[in-house]
Amino acid sequence: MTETVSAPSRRVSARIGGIAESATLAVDAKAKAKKAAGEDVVGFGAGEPDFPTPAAIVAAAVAACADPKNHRYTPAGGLPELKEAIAVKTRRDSGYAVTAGQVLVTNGGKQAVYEAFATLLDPGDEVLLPAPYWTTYPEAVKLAGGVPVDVVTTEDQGYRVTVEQLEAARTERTKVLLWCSPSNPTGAVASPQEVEAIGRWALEHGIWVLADEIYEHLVYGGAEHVSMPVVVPELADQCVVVNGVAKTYAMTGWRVGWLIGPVDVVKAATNLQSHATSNVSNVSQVAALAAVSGDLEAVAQMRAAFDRRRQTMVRMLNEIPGVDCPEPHGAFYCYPSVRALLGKTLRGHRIESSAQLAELVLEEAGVAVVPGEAFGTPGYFRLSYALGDADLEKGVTRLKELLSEAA
Amino acid sequence: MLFRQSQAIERVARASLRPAGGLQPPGTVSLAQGEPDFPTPEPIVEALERAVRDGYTRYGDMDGDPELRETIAENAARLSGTPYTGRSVLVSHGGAAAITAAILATVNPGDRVVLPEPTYSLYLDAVQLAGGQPVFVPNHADHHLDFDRLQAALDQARMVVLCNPVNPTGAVFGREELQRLGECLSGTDTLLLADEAYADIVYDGQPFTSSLEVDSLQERLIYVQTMSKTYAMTGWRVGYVVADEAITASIRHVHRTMNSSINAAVQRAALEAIRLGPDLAAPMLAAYQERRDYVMARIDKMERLEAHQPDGAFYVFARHFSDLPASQVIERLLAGGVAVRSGPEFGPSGEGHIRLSYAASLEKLEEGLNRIEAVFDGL
Repeated sequence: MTETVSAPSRRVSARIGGIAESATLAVDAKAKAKKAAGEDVVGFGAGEPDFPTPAAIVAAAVAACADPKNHRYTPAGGLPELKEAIAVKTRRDSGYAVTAGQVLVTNGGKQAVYEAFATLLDPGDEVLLPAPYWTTYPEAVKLAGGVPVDVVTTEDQGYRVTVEQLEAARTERTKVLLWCSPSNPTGAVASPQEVEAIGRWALEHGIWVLADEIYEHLVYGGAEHVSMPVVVPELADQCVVVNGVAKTYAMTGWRVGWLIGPVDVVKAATNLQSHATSNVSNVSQVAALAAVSGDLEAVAQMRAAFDRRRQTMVRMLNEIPGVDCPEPHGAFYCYPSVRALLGKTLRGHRIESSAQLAELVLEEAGVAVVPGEAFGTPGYFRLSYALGDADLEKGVTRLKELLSEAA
Repeated sequence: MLFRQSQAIERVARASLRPAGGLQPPGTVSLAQGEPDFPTPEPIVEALERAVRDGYTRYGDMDGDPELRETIAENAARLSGTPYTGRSVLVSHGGAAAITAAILATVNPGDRVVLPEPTYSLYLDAVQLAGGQPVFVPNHADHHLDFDRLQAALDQARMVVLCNPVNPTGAVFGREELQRLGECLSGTDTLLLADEAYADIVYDGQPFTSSLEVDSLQERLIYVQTMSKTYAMTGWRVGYVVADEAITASIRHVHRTMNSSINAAVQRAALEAIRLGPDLAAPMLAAYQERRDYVMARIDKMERLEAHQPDGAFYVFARHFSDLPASQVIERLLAGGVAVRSGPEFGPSGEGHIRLSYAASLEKLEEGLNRIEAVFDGL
């Protein structure tokens, strides 16, 4: 028996010590509480489209409910017909030629990200994460035993990482580059030339690329999304592509994503999933099948609305003294720098950090933004424009009125 | 070859007792499945239809639908007398994700995890993923806990994992057995992961004692449940964890990093299921009982098979009198037109056993048992 015994509940495994409470959630929780209490809060925190799932997809799900075969387990890696449809959709949308055997259906893009890292990483392996990044990436890397290495980009470079920056961060232990374009949280979209240059660099150094393409259809103003293994075909053997129905079909709550990779990687990841969670909810898979087999009309409509809001938001943000926002060309986020406001005083408070400023903005202006601390780069805000035009203008106006007082 | 799978996945793949799941020839009668053969009860299906129509299509709460968590917490609090709240509950991507996240959250590399066996094979896989050290402890021949062996194995163990009612044996550990386990663990910091997936499938009108009801287990309890078995909702993928808030918080970290939130609409259907309760599943329970009695009556008449009568779940773990290694027994049976699961999948003491699922119609059971009998008679 051990000599000193702590209460069983106080002990957690070391790997949890590595995972931070998602900073995105802290502000979000506070904003939700305020809203629930009846306060007028404009929320720019949303990471999902404000549109409903298209009716035809909902109808497909309702129809699926009636058939008991859809109440049962599916193969752990997903319904064969869905995997086939995802392969077809991928060829259609990005030009990446893959087979159903290269597809694993996951519980949203998040499970795909985790499983890719868990399959590829051994303890101590390094993952290059161009920052700012989605909070999940470093958490998933740590849970898989890897070491996240931030490669920080700034507004001056439009948040687009360069080969030089990646090369400077590369070590003997560099195993994977996380690639997300269009980017959450910055909205940056790498040009085809940049994608190719980075793909060639990864290929040359034997570095795996985990390419998150979840925002592939949300690009604006002449920007183009290109898939890295399409512009660098030789990279296919060391590339895992992550995608899902969430953003394209306004299906965030349905939890259907996938990863695409070399057959042996997909086999290993499928094995992991069969042990860890088993298949994705069957009816959701049938709904996703309807989504990816259908047309892209719904996302075209969303894109038009997002583009309009994007232009309004970036214009209004740049009118605020101390706020500097490069034009985002993808996803549905603006990522302004508020660094020029740090050290100033606002309503009796000295502004110490973007996290503190975000709290102040919520308290004083009833506006919820996500501070850059959540994305690995303090000194910034993330504002989502996945909300109605009137609310958007109201919220940014409030932000402008408040922040203009900073002195 | 560029790709080499990670050491963690390699460990799982090498140690796992679960079969790859080969194809069954056409015409095979399968008594291998671990899922109810019934459709999900209509009111639950209707609740899902309502939920998708009502717009439960956005991200749900990362910890699970708040109303669902509160309802689960109320039930757990009533059973245990512990004031569980929604913060003690995590809704998970099926029971499997609850088990995996719970083990990853609490087991460090090298930690000993005690597995009374035969038992469900997934625990071993999750322990391997975490880098823990699995310690199998054989149960008594009647499939109940062997406390002498357990006591020795539990020394400095990080966790013990109890499946109750037991998949694959159908044994049900009663109140006294659980209390005795509580005594064994008293004064240690060993956690108990209690997987009670089959809690509502217990026969002969016997009451089931949940680990939630045993005072001495409370501070170390990680209670894991699934909607799959009671409500025939295997494909829907909803499970949950109830534990001390601090433990749940750790499990939550893992689960949200691996899975994020789970399907929002399906959780509304799960809420409806829990509100209506296991009475909804009474016709299924009656059918399982009838089938159990049938299977046992048949096995009792077979010379080459014997089995203890299961008190719960929907499996019979039958010992066969044959010198053939397990893999060949399964092959012979498959050649004879019937699929079952191999005993050693559930731990070393499963050698010489097969697991028959009676989540199958009486007609299928009759044909399957005819074939099993014919194969063993021919050995």
